[in-house]
Amino acid sequence: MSIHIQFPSSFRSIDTSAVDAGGGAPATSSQAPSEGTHLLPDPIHALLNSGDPGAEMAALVLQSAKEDKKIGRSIRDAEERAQQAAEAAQLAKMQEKADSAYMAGLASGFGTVASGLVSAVGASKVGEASKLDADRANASPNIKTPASATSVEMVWGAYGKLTEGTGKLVATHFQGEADDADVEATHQEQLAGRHKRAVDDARDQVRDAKDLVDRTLSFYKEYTTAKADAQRAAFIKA
Amino acid sequence: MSMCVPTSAVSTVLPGDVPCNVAGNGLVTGNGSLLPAPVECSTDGLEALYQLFAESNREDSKGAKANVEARSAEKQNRMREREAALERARKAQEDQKGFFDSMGIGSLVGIVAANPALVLADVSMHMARLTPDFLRDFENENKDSIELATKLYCAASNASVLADGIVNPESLRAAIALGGLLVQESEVFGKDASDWAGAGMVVAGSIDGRSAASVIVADKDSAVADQIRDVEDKTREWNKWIAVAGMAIAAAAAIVGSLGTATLPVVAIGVALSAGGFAVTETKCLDALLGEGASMWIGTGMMISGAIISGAGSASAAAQVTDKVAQGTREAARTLQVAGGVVDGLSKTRQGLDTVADAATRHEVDNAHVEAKSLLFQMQRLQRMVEEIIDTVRDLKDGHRRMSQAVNDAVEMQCQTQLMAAGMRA
Repeated sequence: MSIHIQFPSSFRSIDTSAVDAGGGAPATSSQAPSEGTHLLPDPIHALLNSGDPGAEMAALVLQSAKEDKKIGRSIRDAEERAQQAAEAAQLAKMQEKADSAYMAGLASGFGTVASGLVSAVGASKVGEASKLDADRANASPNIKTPASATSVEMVWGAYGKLTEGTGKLVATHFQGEADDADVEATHQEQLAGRHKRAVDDARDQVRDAKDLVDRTLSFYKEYTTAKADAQRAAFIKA
Repeated sequence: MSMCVPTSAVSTVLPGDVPCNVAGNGLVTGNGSLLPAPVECSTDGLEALYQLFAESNREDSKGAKANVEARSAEKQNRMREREAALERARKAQEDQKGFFDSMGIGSLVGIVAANPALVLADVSMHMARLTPDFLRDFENENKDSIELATKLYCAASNASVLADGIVNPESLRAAIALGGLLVQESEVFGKDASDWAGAGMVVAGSIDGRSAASVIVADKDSAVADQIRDVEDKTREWNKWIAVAGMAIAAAAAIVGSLGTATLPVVAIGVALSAGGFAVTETKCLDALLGEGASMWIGTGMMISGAIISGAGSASAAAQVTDKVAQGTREAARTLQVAGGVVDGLSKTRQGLDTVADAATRHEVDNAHVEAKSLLFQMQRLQRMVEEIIDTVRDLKDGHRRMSQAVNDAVEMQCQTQLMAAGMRA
């Protein structure tokens, strides 16, 4: 009847590793049963209390691997969430950069348009003033007449420069915002990359833990086989 | 004890056991399970466990498969959306409209009403891609109707002149314009030739130049329109130098206006400062020395200073001019200055509109790229999910393989024990 005692314990330990392996799916894709839904009692505790040093060692290593997997998965989930947040922030900053650059382009362009129109209108006003000056000079050749065209030119010139300067000033402000957003987007991209590497590391940790489970099970199998062989030999000898 | 065991799971079948007809080798069976399908037979403990795990495995595999399929379909959708976004970016870059194509219905109304502000506002709105959707849709859907309306308006204005009598020069011109419209519509000389001939006749003959201009602007699918676009495209790179030429004329005129006065050097210094400022801004030569953006600020400062100095110098020179000859020279210079100023102003206006159009195109391209990037992230996330599910299924497969092995070992051990017990009894 020894096999009936031995079998369920080893079988249950395999079952645990199998359920663990299945239950290790990430939050995003997990459809496998969680650890709380085991159909069988926890085999690790049974092994730990078996009094068999080989079984106890295997149970301890399994427990450690289980913890490693659990930690690895929680790190992976946290890093995945952080990566998603960084990617979302990167997209938001990219959008902000695009909007600010657009506003800078509009401010600069419309500033130039306004300046150009003011220049053109100013030039025609100067022409009118100049004609007026000439008419005055011709009407009274011996009297020194004031030259209004120059003052008109200065006023309209100032308007033109002021308009263009205002446009450039506003454009510079928005361009500065766009540059800041660009820097921040790059920063977030780097952060996302760092989190992605951490996710990969955590995944490796989980994989290592699974390998450890496999090795432990192999060891335990060899151990129980050797033990059974020894018992059988002793039985035959007797 | 008669037990049902999978033939692949055990190496030794006891004489009393019934071999089950199962598909083994750990391969996925038709129902998606990694283990062979359980059979309805005895209530043996091992068999019950085997059935339990096989059922669980089948459910897991089925769920995983459905999950992978759903995620893959979602990923395909994202991929298509991303391709569409990138296509939009490419199209936005290609479809950047120039001044001519940015003249919509508002511009036509502005031309007919002789309102340049309305034309400029409409062009600016189109170039900045700020046109409301309903207006853009209306313009696109009723392109032909708008074109026809301008032609009818042109025809009506010319026909009203023709009604006054046909033996005067104006009536003759109106008749030519009407003939031009007929040529355009009938395409009697072929498409391109009729476009050119018709447009020429309309422009030359129309009594109202504005209605002729509206006909030219409204027809966006003619050989004339293509030529206008071509000219607009080719002159874009020269625009800056046209503005420079205008500035140079104005500067030369300022110096000529101050000739013979004591303030000539002041005016010359002002002009030199303005020219230097322009050169610094354009070449960005100070950025390498003083940091990014330095050229723009210093150049702008130099231009403003130059304008103030040359303006003050010109004013002072004007006050010193007393004799009529000098006054005449100054007026001639002033005319040049006006012409230069107008050229410079109009070129600047066009430059500004080009900047607006570039910014709007860049914005649309950037928006499409942001969307494409977002979809790329979603695709990567879905890909990771699929990989996770596949990893999970692989783990399940390993787990079930181990279970199958354990059943195998257990049965083998049970058989050996029974054999040994039988041998001992014998």
